[in-house]
Amino acid sequence: MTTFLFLRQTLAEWKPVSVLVRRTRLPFWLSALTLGAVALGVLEDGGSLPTLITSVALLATFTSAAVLAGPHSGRATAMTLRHPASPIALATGRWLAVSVLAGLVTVGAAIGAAWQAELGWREGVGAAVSAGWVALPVVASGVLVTAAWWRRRTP
Amino acid sequence: MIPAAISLSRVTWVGRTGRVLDGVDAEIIPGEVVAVVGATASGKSTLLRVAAGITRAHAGTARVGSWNATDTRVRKIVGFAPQDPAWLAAFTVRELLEYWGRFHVRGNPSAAVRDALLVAGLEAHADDPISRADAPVRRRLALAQAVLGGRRVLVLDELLTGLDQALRQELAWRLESRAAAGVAILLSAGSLEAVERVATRVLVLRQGRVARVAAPSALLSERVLEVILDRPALAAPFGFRLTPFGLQADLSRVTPEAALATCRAHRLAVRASHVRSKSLEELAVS
Repeated sequence: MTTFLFLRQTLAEWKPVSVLVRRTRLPFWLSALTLGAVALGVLEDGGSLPTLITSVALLATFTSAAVLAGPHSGRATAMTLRHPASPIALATGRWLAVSVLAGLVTVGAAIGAAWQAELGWREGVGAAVSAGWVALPVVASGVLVTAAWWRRRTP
Repeated sequence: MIPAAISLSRVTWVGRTGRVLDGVDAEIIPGEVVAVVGATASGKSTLLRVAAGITRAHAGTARVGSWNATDTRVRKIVGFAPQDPAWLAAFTVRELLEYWGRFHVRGNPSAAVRDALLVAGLEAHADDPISRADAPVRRRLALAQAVLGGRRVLVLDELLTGLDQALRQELAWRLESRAAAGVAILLSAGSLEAVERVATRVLVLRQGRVARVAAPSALLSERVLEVILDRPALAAPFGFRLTPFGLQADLSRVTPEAALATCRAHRLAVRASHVRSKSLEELAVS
């Protein structure tokens, strides 16, 4: 498989992701998560911004993954593999989508929380980027594990 | 000689409970519609999955054209419709086919999707959400995704089973038109009636082995005579076998009149009799 074909198939995964984002309750849950993090006011109780951001990032990742790569999506993806699609490309596309959604929520929550704590939005973005760097190996491991699992399930 | 689109040679597949397929041989040439029929757990679905390259044979070979069936290049040629497909329910029919179409064609897959919708008769339901699609639409969608990308071999698991007669006939006609265009079709069914309209050849599968290979008309013409007796017979006359209610005679070598005359000659008290088509199990053992 050429790199171009791999990227094209990875990009094709945005189609189901965009449909699921538009037609499921995922945006509602992610918005609730963002607003909840902002409203929680952890900082006022002595909590730290990185702790809040990491928690939000984790929750957003779990929520997005549950909808975008949950059991039902997994079964439907098995149908996709009856077509000339690469399991690794599909896994990469799906994990990238999860990461992007979780990243958006994390940045939103970080900016909101930092603004509420009167730290300024730059500190919020900085905290989100820090949390992102921490999450990067987790996402990369997820891509590899998912790809290996899918490869084992397909001949 | 036309090269086979699918060729299975001594295919064996072993499951947890034993041999699901046991040395199956079959060949399907382009333009042919071959049906695999058999009772539940006779190995039909496994045979189709091996032929489509979804699962690997534990012994023997399964080939599609000149490739091994499990070669990833085969997915461009073979369209597979599983018995119980899972769909992304948030999609519409068209969106789902467009998503899969991107794996088949470079650029915009609209033309390929339009063709697939046309082949499956789904044009009127193209913008229906899958979550609200009824069973016939889902069955058509299974066919549409199998033909997507102009694939030359179709492997369809129970596509025509459990449908009303009108829809079954319509889908059979659609399959015939694909076969007329040179597509090789392998489909399974739990009954002979489901495939009699479309199949050119029938493989009767029994306990993982091919028990019979014949044209559907030949299999459907095979009859048995059921004889209900007032008193149970102590022994079955030659050419008969005992049943819980009386006797049964295979009518492949004898007429019903001659069989009833045999009953009278043996002084058996016949209460009633009727002729019926053979069941799949009877076809498999005869």
